Amino acid sequence: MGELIALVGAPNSGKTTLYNWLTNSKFKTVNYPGATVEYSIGAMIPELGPSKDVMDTPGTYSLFPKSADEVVTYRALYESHEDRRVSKIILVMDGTQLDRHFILASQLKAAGFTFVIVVTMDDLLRSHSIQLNTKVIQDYFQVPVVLFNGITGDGLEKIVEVLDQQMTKVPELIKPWSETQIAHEVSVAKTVVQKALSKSTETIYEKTARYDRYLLHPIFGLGLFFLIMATLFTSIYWVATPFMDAIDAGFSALAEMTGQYLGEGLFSQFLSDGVIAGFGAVLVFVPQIFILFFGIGILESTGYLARAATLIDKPFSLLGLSGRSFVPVLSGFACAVPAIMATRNLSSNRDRMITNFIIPLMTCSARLPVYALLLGFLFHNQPAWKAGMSLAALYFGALVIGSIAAGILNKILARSQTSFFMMELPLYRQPRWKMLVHQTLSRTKSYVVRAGPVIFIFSALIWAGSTFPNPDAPTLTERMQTSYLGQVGQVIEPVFEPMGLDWRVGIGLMSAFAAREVFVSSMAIVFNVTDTNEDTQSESLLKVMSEAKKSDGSLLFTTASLVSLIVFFMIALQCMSTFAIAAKESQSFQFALTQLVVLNVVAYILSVLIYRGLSALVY
Amino acid sequence: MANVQNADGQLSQIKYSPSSGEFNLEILDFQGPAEVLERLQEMGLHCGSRVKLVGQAPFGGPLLFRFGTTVIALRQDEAQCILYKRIS
Repeated sequence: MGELIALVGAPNSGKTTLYNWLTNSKFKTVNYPGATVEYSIGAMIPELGPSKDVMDTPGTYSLFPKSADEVVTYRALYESHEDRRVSKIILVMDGTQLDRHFILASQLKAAGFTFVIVVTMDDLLRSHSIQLNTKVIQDYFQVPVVLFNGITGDGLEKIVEVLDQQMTKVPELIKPWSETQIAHEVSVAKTVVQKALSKSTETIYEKTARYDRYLLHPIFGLGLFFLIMATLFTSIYWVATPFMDAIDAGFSALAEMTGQYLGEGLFSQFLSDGVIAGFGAVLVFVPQIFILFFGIGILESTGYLARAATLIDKPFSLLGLSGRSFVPVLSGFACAVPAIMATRNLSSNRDRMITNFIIPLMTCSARLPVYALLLGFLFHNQPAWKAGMSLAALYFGALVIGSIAAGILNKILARSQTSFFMMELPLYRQPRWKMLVHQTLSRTKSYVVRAGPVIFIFSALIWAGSTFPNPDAPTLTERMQTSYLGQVGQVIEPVFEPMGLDWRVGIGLMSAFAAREVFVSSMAIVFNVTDTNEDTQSESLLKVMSEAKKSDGSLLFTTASLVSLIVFFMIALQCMSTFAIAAKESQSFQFALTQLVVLNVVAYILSVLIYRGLSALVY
Repeated sequence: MANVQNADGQLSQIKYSPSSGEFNLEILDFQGPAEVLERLQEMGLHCGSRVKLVGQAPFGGPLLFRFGTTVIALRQDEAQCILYKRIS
């Protein structure tokens, strides 16, 4: 193992961008203070010299941590990692904020760390004709200072060169600084930075200030916030439709070709009715997931997220949350697992607990295929905007349910710690589109890779369970009813009957505990969807579902049972990865178990009540 | 504590409205929980710092202060820890 170099710096100073350059990683870079909440280690690219590992750490303002993510950085610097310690530090300082990032450099110096200073945002300084005399800072700290351009990568070799010239020293723990000490450092920082810069950096903020006049305006700002969120969530439906239709048609054609090529037989049925139908039913929603990740990526990279957190802080604070909770909650719309990790950025444990509890209620990407199927069914043959608006309503509904849950927890939990909101608003930056597309593709790919094996296994199991032991039964209905799955289904049917569902949907709901999207593939297989005469699989699944009847002859999927199902999916916690990460992050198995039980029991009771209520209204 | 006597009040007492426009302040002193004071200083707010009040989030939300190339949003609770004097 080579030596371990840590990247340290204030939030949003450009550490992750430098990390990506040094390691050729494709880590997400986000224009939001506190985006990195866990350290990551990557090997430095061989072109830059002898073997080294680089560690990216969460942003910190000082060596005295005040939130869980800052504790990660503190421990990363002082403790061992796989039997080795950080030998040298690259301190990343934002060139437009040098005086504010000065204190951390002084503390690293006082603690005796071996470090070099890298000044980022060089491109911004240059574009405003501001020259930085690095020698002034170098002379003050007596450490090398290198300018780095995050867009072109200029300065990369120099960083490694000066790093190699440093001798490793053993750092010491230092006591928190007194007010007088800080005041002294601040005044020194001002003098040194003023001397180092050819002119004030204030002009850099002018464009951002102009945008903020509207985007942070108490009335227009709030209106624009809702408009931006509504555009994001509705576009998931309408932008994706043509791509989804194309994928759907592709899988239908593949199933048909497989059937024709292999002829009659169990293997042919397994491939077309099991594997292709299962995958097709889920992969058709990949365009929607791409659009969701892309939209969130734009908000992350422009710098808007910090504004959104500020705008929403007051309403959130009434629910016992902080505006900072907005970002983890929004990430929850993509996936609850990283979202729960993102709560490390919150300073109060109480805020973290409430935020962690409500994140699984957000409409994560795994719910999207389920909603798209059920809404497609509810609004079949109706204008697309109706399903689109309903999907947007479900996204906002998730926020409403989350707010109610947070409000209840806010009343229950004792106030043991002060929650504070002090948020830096970064400069607006243009997204780097190529990188954004690349990151979105990689996040979408990881969704498919994560879901793929589960879908395959469950597709195979459900196909086998619904085919055997009587694969040659004269009718499909008889084969299904006498199958192993059918037999299990009869036993569990009483649980799902109060929701207006039968055992077939019950099987789908049970399989959704492996991964929510498996519900869709299970439905496709249980309802035997590979009617090759149909244009597309979704169409045929909707057709079969619309004709499905319960044992008493009544229609299985009515408005009441569909709404009840949607409500169940909105609230139930079916994702075991979320359960595991909630236990880890809260350091309480009891918290995670309570969350699991409460959300599933409430989901069940509400969906039963809604089914009963709607059925009574209709009949 | 001479600074405190010259103060116009705590930052949280400022009434901001878009029509009143931006105004400049000088930070005279801090008071309140040590954790908050330390963080405020680490973020760049110090006695003698000159900041500009540039806005406030909706519903009486966080106040927005600009100094140099930095804008910081502070909730009323945190703004309460800062004693200020209005300059212009």
